[in-house]
Amino acid sequence: MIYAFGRTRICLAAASVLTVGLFSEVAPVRADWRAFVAQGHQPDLITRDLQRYAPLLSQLPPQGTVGYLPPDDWPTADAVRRFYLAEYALTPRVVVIGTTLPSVQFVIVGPEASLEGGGTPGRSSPDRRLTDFALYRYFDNGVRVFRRLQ
Amino acid sequence: MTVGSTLALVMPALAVYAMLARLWCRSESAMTSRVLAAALSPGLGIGLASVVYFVLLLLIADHGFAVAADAGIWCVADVWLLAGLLARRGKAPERQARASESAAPVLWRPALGVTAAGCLILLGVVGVSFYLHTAVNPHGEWDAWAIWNLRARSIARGAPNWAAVFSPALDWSNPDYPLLLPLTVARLWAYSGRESAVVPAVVAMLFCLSSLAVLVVSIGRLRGWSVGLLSGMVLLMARTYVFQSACQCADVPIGFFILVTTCFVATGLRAPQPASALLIAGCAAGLAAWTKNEGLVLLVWVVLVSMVPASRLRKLAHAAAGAAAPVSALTVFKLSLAPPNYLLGGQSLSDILAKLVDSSRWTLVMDRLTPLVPRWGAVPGGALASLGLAVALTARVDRRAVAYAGAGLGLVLAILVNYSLVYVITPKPLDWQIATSFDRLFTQLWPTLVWAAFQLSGEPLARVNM
Repeated sequence: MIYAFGRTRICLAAASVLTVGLFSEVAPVRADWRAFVAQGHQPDLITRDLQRYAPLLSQLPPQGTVGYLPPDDWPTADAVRRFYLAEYALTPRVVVIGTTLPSVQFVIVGPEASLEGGGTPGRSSPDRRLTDFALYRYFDNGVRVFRRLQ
Repeated sequence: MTVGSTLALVMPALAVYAMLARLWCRSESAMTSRVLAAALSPGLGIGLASVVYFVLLLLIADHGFAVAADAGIWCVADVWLLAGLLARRGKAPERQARASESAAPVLWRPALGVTAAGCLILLGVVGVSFYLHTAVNPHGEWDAWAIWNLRARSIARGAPNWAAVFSPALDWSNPDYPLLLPLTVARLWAYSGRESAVVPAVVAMLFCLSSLAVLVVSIGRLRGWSVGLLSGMVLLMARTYVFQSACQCADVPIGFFILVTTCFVATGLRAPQPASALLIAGCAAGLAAWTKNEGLVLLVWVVLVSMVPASRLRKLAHAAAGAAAPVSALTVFKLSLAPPNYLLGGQSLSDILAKLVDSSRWTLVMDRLTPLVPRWGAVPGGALASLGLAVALTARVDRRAVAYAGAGLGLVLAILVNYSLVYVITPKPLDWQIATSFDRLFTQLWPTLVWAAFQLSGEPLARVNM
């Protein structure tokens, strides 16, 4: 008799839960499927953003604090994401917004940040935010690294 | 996943399984106890392995040597525990025979078939959803890569330079958060030799599946297997829970530990021999605190509940013994490595007190949370309504079931009150804080809520003797 308990009610409950579960999963799975197909063999957004910092790994010291010049659209979600991803890509270096900390010897400037006068290797930058820094490396993806003048 | 990282997962799980099986060999354990041990072992194994790895990194300060020592420790533990288990089984054939006789046979019947099929269908859909979401977002959602996977990378690349890993300059990534998840991922990366994005996804999936297994088995052995499988269906029905599982954040892992704690505290308080149950509950509560700061509330709850009348000091001692390792690791981390938490470090004590006594702030929090709770789950009508319907359809209330359900619901309520308290004193904009955290916080409680609600359904409560 115990095993016969509520057979119909359990089946009814299972049917209702299954219906709700399937119904709620359809739209998100379809959306993920579309994104999956659209993405194809291309990397996702985060991986693409991470790739822009990949060349910096060999150019920066393995540890220490690195400055980050905020882009013109700071603090939009895209700009904040790219800053956080700089830390994600370059850790265990500590990436901080700005250039004023004395411990900052290198500054990353993304292509979204416009600079006054660009920069010339070995010479102080004409941009007032980077007066103590000179262009150190320029990468094809538009990312620049400035180094503090000794 | 490489052979190395797979071994890194399997070795602690095997040790925990052998340890649980040894603990439960003393009593008349049935097949279900072994299944429950198998369901518990991946999650508890991951947690304990992260504690061991943390200690090794502190002592040895080199990933290569730490991995070698870690592998050695778990190999020895596996061999010792499995040998002990086999020897014990060999010596007590009559007890085994009695145990297998005492195990209730699982009879095939329509309700069981329907719930098993339903569970498998939902599991299949969840698997597809998880795979697609991970393929589109291999690094997880924003919080996953900005907090948990970032910390894992920092540890994997930076330890033992802890100052860089937990720099206060990284306050936007909450460097004071406990380390179970980041250390687990860093440990698996260290074993495999590369930072694969698959590892955090596998860990996330493992915690989701372990939660499902623990829920189904713990309900099934008490209230019947049809109802156990139905509870598993309800867990997976909630879209938000599935989404959060694929996010690679720490909310589903801490949800697993909250579930295990509740389940074993409830069992331990009623069992004639509560030692092993309270040991597991204490261990799970400690690991919950080692996963996220919210887990500290669980520890307090376990202490309070363990001190209910009758041999309370002994019960507390069992729970404390289980929690000792993760709580010690947490204490070392909080006292020597972690920067201050934004809640306490970002404002003065007088600010906090002023917010606490500000009734308008409490009213605001309640106004915001009240409509969110019934809507949680991203399912038609809200997940709570579907849970309530499923339990109402299968309800069979008895006194002991009410006590079990009360323990679980009491804990959920206590944690919800704690979350409200955090919202009241937060220095961040309240609407933003609630909007960005409520879904995740309720996800932590969902498995326990399902467990507590399903205590009121199914067959008459079987007598548990672990």
